[in-house]
This record gives sequence, structure tokens and C-alpha cells, in this order.
Amino acid sequence: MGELLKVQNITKYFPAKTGFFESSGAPIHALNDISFAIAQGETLGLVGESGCGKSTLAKVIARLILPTSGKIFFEGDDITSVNGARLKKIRRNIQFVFQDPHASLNPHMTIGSTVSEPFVIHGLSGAKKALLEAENILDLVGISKEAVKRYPHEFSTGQRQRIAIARALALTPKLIIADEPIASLDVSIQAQILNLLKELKEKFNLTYLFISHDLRIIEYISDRVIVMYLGKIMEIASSRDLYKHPIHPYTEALLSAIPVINPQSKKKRIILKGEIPATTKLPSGCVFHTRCIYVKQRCIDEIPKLTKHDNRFFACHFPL
Amino acid sequence: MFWKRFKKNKLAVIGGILVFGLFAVAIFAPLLAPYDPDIINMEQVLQSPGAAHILGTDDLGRDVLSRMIYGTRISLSIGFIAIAIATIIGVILGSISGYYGRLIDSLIMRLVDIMLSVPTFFLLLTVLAIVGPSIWIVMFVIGLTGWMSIARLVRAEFLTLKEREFVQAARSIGASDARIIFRHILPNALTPVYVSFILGVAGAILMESGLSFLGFGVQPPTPSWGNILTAGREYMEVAWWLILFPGIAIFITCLSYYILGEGIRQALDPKLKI
Amino acid sequence: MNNCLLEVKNLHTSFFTDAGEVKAVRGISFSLEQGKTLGLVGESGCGKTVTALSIMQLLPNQAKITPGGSILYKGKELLRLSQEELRKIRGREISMVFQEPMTALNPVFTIGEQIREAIELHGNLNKKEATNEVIKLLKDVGIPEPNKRIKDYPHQLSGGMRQRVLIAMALASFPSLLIADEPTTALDVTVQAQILELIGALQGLKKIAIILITHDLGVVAERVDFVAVMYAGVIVEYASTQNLFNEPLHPYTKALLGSIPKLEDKDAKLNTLKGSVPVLTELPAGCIFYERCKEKSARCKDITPELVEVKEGHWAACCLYEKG
Repeated sequence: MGELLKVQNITKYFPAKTGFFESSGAPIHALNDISFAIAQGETLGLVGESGCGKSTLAKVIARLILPTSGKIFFEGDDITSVNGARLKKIRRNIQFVFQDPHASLNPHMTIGSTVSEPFVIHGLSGAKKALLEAENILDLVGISKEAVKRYPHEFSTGQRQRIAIARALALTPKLIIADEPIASLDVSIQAQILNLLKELKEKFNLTYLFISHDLRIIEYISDRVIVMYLGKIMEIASSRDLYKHPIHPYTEALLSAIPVINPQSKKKRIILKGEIPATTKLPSGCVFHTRCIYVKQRCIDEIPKLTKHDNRFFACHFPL
Repeated sequence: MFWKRFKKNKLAVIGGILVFGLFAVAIFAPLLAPYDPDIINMEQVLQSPGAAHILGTDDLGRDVLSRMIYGTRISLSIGFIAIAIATIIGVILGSISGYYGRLIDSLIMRLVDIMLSVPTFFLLLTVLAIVGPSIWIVMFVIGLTGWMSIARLVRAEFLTLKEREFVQAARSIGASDARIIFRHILPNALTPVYVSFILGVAGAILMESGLSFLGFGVQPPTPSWGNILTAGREYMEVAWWLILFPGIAIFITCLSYYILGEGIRQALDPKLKI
Repeated sequence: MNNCLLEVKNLHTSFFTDAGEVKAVRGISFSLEQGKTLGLVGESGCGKTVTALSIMQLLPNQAKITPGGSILYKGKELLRLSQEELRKIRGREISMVFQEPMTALNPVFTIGEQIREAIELHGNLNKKEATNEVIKLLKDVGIPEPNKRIKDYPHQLSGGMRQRVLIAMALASFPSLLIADEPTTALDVTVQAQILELIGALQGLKKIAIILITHDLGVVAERVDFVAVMYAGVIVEYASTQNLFNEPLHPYTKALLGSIPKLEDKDAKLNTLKGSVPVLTELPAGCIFYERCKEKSARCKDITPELVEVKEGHWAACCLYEKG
């Protein structure tokens, strides 16, 4: 499996809000020195709690926002700061599915024009043919052809997410970044969309970057998983290894926090102390040390590096 | 949905019907007017309202009703064209300002501040005093000095809409800035513009009447509500109908625009329960 | 049932909207004993929140409880109380915790003032005693340095902390029943674990009954004694948590459980439900779940199944288990 996408030392700061009378506070450290690669054909899961920077990372990779520093390579080409026609070409290959299909579909456009728009923008076909193409894609995601004349508000949330997926598929991209694509759906609908994504992946040989805060879903869909906390990568491992044997204490705590469906299993639960620190004031040393149950002096003093061991990466001085 | 909510507001429906009626009057003026508005008949000077002339005649014996019916055309078209100019400028500048932000936003917004500090009515008087009275100048000056509030409205809508996910989705499929502005954001930003447009028309009609009254607006013999009123001023004590009926027409027109605009605003505002 | 704290019988609640009458809750009955926990589970629009609001009688104006039902609290009929009597029950006897901790707190008052208000409304303590009570409550819900935190405004706290404040407010008057409407949905997993732990500990401490409303079956499995599964305004299955998860009876419950990815079994395709929840303005005849059901038969189209006791303490509303 070749490398499809590689990110190198990506860092993103958002400047502090400056008021008229005061320039308050430090900048937000959204991403801190992130490096990883996505192999052709795999599903890479990205998991973490709110504020860990996973959505920012997704948008940086999709070239919706620019990183402060670092590089992004797609099929070996540096795409960090390409513009114009080259950026448009990248857009064909990297597509995005957003969390909330109520927000990601234009309420004033029919489903037909939404799904056929990619064809029109990229000059792939005229408006009439594009509409036929749109009908075909909608059919693939399980939406009937009559939908093209209707508006987003006439559809349920699950159907809307199918439409958003159809739009992302339209240009036959190589990489689809899905940012919490099922977080706003009901349980039974979540399963429908997960199955659909799995089917489409096989059919079109897609690569996914799948972002979620739900470990159960990440485990189910991903081949490999990245665990993020406060803008940093804590651990990267194949999903089997990660769930069987977490190396980073944060991963362990996350896994133990998942409610178990079986009421008999009284599994040991690690309750983390305190709250996630603010991204404007990162803790010294290991960012997780304020909540880690195994914390030692070294964790407070020294920043752990992401190290590789047996095909796994982790950033911890005292791996489990 | 919009219609259902709008129909609940009886007053707005009446306003809508009146505005619609005014347009019908303007369009079918030649059919509705009992007399030619410009025909002078010195035998029928200052007739009080009666069977022959429902609203009486003026100092030159012209039928007041016919003149008012034709005046509808002038008043409505000045209001409409002036505000259309203001809206187009406002929407374009507001869109650019809100979408691009930063320096260009600051520049446009300072321009708005400067323009707002110019008293429109006196600017109009000055311009008209220099170049001479003309309907077209009136329309353009009202248009060029009336776009600021619309620009601010559109800018505010753009500021929130450009962060919405469907805009990012459009960007991620490779849409150009122009496409994002005009196809994706603008249609979602127009709601407050509709309301502002309708309220603006009422304001422009009032301003035109005021100017005509002062003699700077529409020039006789072309009838407009403002100059019928002016002509009637001299005969106020003997011919009350010359000022009463044009006054009522201006009043009712502006009122119906306002209640229509307010009704549309309420119907479009999902937070209001009606 | 001697120990019965709350008994809801045949509750119907409808919303009267432009689109017609929306029958959000259609004849549900359940009871809750002192100190026990009931989970109300279902997808969005199943009526679980409306049920809670009906008990509290905090429904919006366009919603009405259809006469004929009954909500007995400690033997008192809540539906026949005056506004004044209801006000005394709300907060003092029955408290509620909402999903969104930011909107449920007033941004212009400190959290200390807000909790003290809840105490003063229902007790007769002086200001100093009340403040001490606030600090004690904040300590109970696990807020560090409570004597400093009482001067904080809601926006200075994180989501998890706000939810703790809301729980403290709900507990201020020692209620016998706490209704928690999706209390952890807006929170992160690790914070959710903290809050669920807290609710469990408080229940053990104060012996209150809890109605926990959630869409997350995992939360239910961990925290509650009994579960009522709701679908399109009716309870389709009711059982003890053990029984429900070991042996779900209703096809809807089975499908819900099947649609959650299991941590052990990765390659299995998820069991999905076809279609989506029916529109409540145009309900089909017969079984409400018919369209999406995998075990349907011809009968289901005509018969509206009643909730029947299939095994001891395990109820289901499905033709598969109809008697006779």
C-alpha cells in the first residue's frame, strides 16, 4: 500500500482575540507538531474529545484553512500552499463530509443542483448531463431520483447526510475526509450511514480519514487509529492493537469511559480527574499530565516525543 | 410556510393588497382616469368634488382624480427605481465587505460611516439647485445616498453565513469566490434585504413628495402627488380638496408599505410566534 | 405497589401546530419506585422529552395533555393541581436537569446566586445559611474549591462543570424525583463518565428516584434499574435492565441493539433499520413499527399491539407476543 497523504510537523495557532482596549490572552494552540501518513485504501480513524484539534486538522488537510507551519503531501506532491488551478485539482481528489447535514447543504439550492454542482464547477459536463450524473450518484447512496427537484428541508437528517456523501463522491475523489459524519444522527440511522460508507469504500477503492469522538464507531470503521489530545498525537496504532492493549494512559482512560452495552460486565473504569485544560494555556511537559493517573515528575518537566515501537507510535514517557 | 405565517397578520395582508392595488392603478392609469390629466379647462376651475369631478378640479380646471392616478406612476417609479439603485449598490458592497473582510471591509465600512454623516435631503437640494430639477437626478441621488443600511445588513448576514458549513462545502468542491458569493451566500442573505427594500420605497416616496413640494422635484405639468399638493397650497382656503386628497394618498401609500414590510419581516422571522 | 413514587397512566400529549395535531406521546404508562432509576430510551422525536415535560407540566403553549390520563405522584394527581400547588412540587419534590448546560443557566448571575435562589425558593434559611448550603452542594457534586467557584459566572465554567452546577441546583431542595434529560449528551466521553459516576453516587447518598432520558443504550446499561424503550410516542418494551439487554423482545429494541458497533466484533456488518421514524401527523394504522420491522407479518398491519407482560416484569407491545 502506497502513501496517499502525508502530513509533516503541522502546527496551527489561531491568533488571540484582540479587543479595542486590550489584546487579551495568548493564541490558541490548535495543532502542535502533527505528523502522520494515510496509506492508499485504508480507513484512518481520528479520535479525541472536543478541543483536541481533530476538526482543525481535517480542515487543514482539506486545504480549507492554512497551517501556521508544516507541510502536507498528496501523492508525493507538496500541496501546503498550492493555489488556482492546482488547488482545484486537489479539491477533486480530496473531498469533505461535514458533521451536520442541516448546515452543510445550502437551503436555497435543490438537491439536484447541489449534487451536480461539482461537475459544473470542474467543467466535466454541461448542466443537463450533470443532472443525470447527479441522479446516478444519488441512486448509489440510496436516494431516489425524484429528489433532484426537492430542497434539503424536505429530507430527514439521515437522508441529508446521504446527499452530502453523494456530493463528496461526485468527483470520484481518492480521499474522503469525514468529520463526525454520524454524530448528529440517531443510532439506527448511524448504522445505515456507517454501512453505506463501508460499501462505497469497496466499490470505489476510497481512502477515508474518519473523525469521531465515539470510540466504538472509530473502532468499527477504522484500520488504524490516531488518538489526539490538546492538539497533539498521543498514540497511533492499528485499531485491533489499540483496543486490545492501549499504550498511552489517555487512550486507556478513553476506552474505559465507553459505556458497555452489557449490564453484567462491571468493568474497571478510570475516572479522569479534572477537566481538559484550555488550549490557550497548555500544560508544561506532557499535555496530559494534569489528568493522568500515572503522572510522575518527568511528565511535568519534559515533553514526550512521538516514538515508534513495534509498528505503533506513542507519546508517553512511561508507556503502559 | 411563509404564506401561512404572513396570512395570519391581517394588517400586513391589507397593506399588501393596497400596495398591489397602487401598482394596478399605475399600470392601468389611462383606463382608470376619467379625464386627460393635462387638459386645461378654464370653465371648470376649482370645482369642488361632485358628480362630474369626483375629487374636484384644480386652478387650471384639470381633474384632480385623473392627475392623482397618473401621479401614482411617478411616485411609485421614483420610489422603486431609487431604492433599486440603493439596493444593488448596498448588496454588492455589503457582500464584498462581509466576504473578504480585513482591509477592504474596513474601507467600505468607513465609507458607509462617511455617507451616513451626510444629510441626504440637503445634499439633494444642493445638487438639484446646481443642475436643475429632474426626476432622474432625484432618483439617482436618493439611490446613491440610501444604500448604506442595506450594505450593513448584507455584510452582517455574510459574516455569519460565510462560516457556515455549506459554504465550506462549496469551497471544498472547488467553487470560485464569485460562485460562493452569488450562488451560495447571497440567496441566504436576502431576507432582510426584501424588508429593507419595501420600507425604503416608502421613504423614497416621502422624500420625492417633499422635494416636489419645495419645487425641486417633478416639474409641472407632469403630475406627482407632491406637486399637486404644492399647487393646491395657494388655494388651501378655498379648495381644501387640492391638498387633502394627495395628502391622504401619500399617507396611505407609505403606511401600507410600512405594514407590508413589517408583516414580511414578522413572517420571515422564525423566532417570532404569530 | 406500595412503594410507588410516580405512576403515569395512559398519558397522551399533543402539539397543535400549523401542520396539524402532532401526537407526540400516545398513551404511555409506567411507574417508578422510591430510590430506583428508570431509563427512557429512544431516538429523536420518540416523545421521551415530551413525557418528562408532561410530568413537570412545563410544556410549551401549543402542547396539551389530553384529558383521561393520570400522573400520580406520591398518590397525588398532578394533572389536577393548581399552578400554585404545581410550583411547590416542581423543584421541591421533582427536579429536572437539562441537556444543554449553557442555555439552562442564566448568564448574568453567578452560579452561587442561582443555586441560592433554588434553595431560598423552597426553604426558609437566612442568607448566610443558604450560602453555606450552596458550598456544601457544590462540594457534593465534585466542584473543586467551592467557596471560590460560587462567585463564578456560567461562562467561566466548562461544560462538565456547568452540568455539575445544574445537578447541584436540582438537588438544592432535596427532591424525591430527579428527571435528567440527556444530561451527558453535550459532554465528552471522559466527562460523561464523571457525570454518570456522580449521578450514581448521589443517588446512593440521597435515595432519590431518577428518570434518565437518553438515546445512548450504553448509558442505560450502566446506570438504570428499569428501561422503557419508546418509539413514535409509545412504549414498545419495558423491562429490568438485565432482562432487556439479555433478551430483548421487541424487534425495535433488537434492531437498536444491533445497530451499535460492538467492541469485540469488528467485521460484522451492522444490523440496520430501514427507513426512518414515521411522521407523527400522519400515523399509519396498525403497528407503528410495521414499515421498518424485520419480523412483521400480515396481522401487524391491522392490529395495534398493546403492551403485554410477556414474562414476569418484562413487557412488550408486539404482535409476536399477543395473547390468544
